[in-house]
Amino acid sequence: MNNVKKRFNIIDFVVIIVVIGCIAGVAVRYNFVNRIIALDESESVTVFFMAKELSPELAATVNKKSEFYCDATNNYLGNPETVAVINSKFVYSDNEGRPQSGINELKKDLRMSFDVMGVKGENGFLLNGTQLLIPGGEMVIKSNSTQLSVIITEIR
Amino acid sequence: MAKIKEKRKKFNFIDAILLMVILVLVAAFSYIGFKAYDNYFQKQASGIPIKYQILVEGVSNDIKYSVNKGDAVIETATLTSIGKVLEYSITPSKFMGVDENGNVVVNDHPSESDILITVEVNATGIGGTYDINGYSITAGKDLNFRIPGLRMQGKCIAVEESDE
Repeated sequence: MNNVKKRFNIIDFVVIIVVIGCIAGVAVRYNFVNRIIALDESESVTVFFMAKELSPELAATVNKKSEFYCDATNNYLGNPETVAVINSKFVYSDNEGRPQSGINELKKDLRMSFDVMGVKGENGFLLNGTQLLIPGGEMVIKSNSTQLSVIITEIR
Repeated sequence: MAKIKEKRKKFNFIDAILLMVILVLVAAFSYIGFKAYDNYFQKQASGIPIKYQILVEGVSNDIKYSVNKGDAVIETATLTSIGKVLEYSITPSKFMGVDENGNVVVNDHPSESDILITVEVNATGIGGTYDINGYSITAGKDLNFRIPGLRMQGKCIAVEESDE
């Protein structure tokens, strides 16, 4: 019986180098390195949301104890730092055709702010390093009892 | 008589790895080759600097946005880069009211603004319809876009070739 002793030869070495090169190529292609580093550069910002023209009953379900998530990504927002429910406003034309601001007592605007962690990049703020939030953007956030379509009004 | 041993080569694990690596390399080089081929011809065809204007109407003053010269403009549906902000202007939206005599009266809206953004980019195309990295732009087209400080829907209201 012949015992063929397997030796580590040049072909094995080339194979290993190429496999490592492929893995490195994938990591660079999908920016894994920057994403990993970016998570270390997380900072805390305050994100302000507004939901307009809600029914008073729906607006009343939101308070500082509500725990919110982003519906699309399940990113955790937490408890709102501030919650304000105000009467919705509308603009109408007076007798002279000039715009006047009126109060819609049937609807409420809900304004909330959250302190969240993320990365400020050249394209905007990345919530938890993964979800781009930009003023003017719309998104759906949810808690155990509520789902709201909100507009991002400010990131500070 | 020496026994001639025929060494039968079996297809083993190392050979399988080697084969996979070769296939991956062939695929990678093919992809790079095709990409370079496309880029070469795109570069040959492109090079028309154009300017186009995006009008965003009725932006609520509640939204604390920012627009800066040089901001990269990204079309949000396709994530295509469609230029850089050259200049912008922010003016109060117009409010059309009717007085008691039925006359239309135009005033500034108390809580909304219009943003007019001029974008510059190199594109291919001719005669009013241009292609920017695969995204078609022409006057009248609605587009969803973002810059670092604002995400909105607007309308392209004008496209022209730059003089430079």
